[in-house]
Amino acid sequence: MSAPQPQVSPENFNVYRDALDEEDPIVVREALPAREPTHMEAALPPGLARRVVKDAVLLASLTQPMRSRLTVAGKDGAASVDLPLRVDTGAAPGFRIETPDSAGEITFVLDARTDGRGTLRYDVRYIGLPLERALSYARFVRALYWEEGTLSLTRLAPTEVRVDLVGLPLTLDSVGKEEAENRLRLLEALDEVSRMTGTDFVYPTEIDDEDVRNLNHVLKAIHGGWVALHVTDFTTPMGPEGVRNILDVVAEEGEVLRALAMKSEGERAKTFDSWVDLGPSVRYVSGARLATPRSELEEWLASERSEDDSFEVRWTPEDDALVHVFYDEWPKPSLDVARRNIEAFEEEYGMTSEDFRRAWESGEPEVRAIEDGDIWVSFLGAREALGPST
Amino acid sequence: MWQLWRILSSEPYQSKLRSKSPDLHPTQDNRGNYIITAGERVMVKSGNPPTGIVFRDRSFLVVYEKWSKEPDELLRYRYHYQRPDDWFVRYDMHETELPGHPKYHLQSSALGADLRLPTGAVTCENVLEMIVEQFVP
Repeated sequence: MSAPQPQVSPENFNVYRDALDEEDPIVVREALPAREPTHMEAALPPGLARRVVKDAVLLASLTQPMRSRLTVAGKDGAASVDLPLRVDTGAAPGFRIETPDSAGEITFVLDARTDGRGTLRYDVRYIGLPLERALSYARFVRALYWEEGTLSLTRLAPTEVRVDLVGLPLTLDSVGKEEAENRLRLLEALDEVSRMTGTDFVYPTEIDDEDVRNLNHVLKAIHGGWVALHVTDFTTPMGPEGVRNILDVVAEEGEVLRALAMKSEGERAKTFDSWVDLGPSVRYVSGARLATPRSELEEWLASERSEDDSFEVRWTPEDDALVHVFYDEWPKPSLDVARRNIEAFEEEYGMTSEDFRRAWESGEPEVRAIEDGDIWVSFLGAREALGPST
Repeated sequence: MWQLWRILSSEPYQSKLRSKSPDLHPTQDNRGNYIITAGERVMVKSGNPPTGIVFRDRSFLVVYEKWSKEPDELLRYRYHYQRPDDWFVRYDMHETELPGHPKYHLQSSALGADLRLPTGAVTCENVLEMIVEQFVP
């Protein structure tokens, strides 16, 4: 039987709850943190807390909340957050740097005692935050316990005054680390979807299984343009002509249609509170069994029908066949692919791509003898074609 | 890419794949050629984790194809099949023949790194057939 290509909406497919075929989903529901606000508290090394007390004299003018910047500077770069801070010199013995109550999304409290002990607390209320801000906060948290470096506080006005607070990384328990890592992974996944599709996100109020499933679906679609789904059943809308055709085919060849391909002109996937536009797609299943009783189709045809009427014919995938979704507009040509390969060649052959290309173009025998030198050249060409901003 | 999608979404390949929808990446170079890859990197080294088209037994195939746009013609391929015990076989087609590198050739860990046996042209489908018929249970 030839493969008909009816227009079928993605909503006509009933997907299993554990829908994706992937054994390693990109975002795992169970791993996502549920607590809000997120809480991170770390003890400061005694010596450092003592120094903070000493240096904080410089910040004594922060008795009223002032615009300030916390910066983590490490060898791999810097991360910072801006927030209002004040110094409470009355928090004896020692002092406290903290966000005022009105700060809202972040609570930062650094207690440093004169006996050298101290604690640092950093709580974030992520719900409702625009993605970009939530991501910057999550990256800041990660930088606090991940990188070697320094956490410093800069009073931004009226003049800039900077004080190094503590050396990093802070120690954080494994549960806290895992939560922070998982949140960052979720936010980076959303950020990738946002960049690739132009969709705006805010940190969701709730994260349920369907959200995570949809997010993984979207990620798979934009990474590879192909998603395989476990589907219990699906329907295809058919007019009288289509229904007659199905009945004829079933009478001749049985109730299993082979190589069924169905088009969707545009697909939107709900991901948390936003809709992601994935564009046109084709759903393909190698075999599907007619699940609507033939008698029902015959009855529908027997009643008076206009050619504009439509009947939802139900099918079940044969032999648990997956439904494959192929997206016309995904994946996009990827600069990352070129970059990864270029790095691998540079590492393998111990030379920069610039040196390699110069030698290749001048026909130096040693470089020309590199068997996959032409592949290296092609990825350099891809990097040029796609440009640094792709 | 559609061709590879079509093959991989059908039997007997589907039941032998670990991920049922492996990622294939299209790229284009500055000469208007299209590059299709499967796998994090084209260069596969001993001990690399499975990438590209990964089979049930965790063996994997890394694909590199370079196509010209006009005419639509395959210019260069590399199909590297790697097994968990580090055994590999690799098919190459070069755009031009190099000394010691026949235009179409095969390398395998069983033969050693310096031997390149001449072959005829193969397609990715030929290599996939070989893998599922002879290697993946």
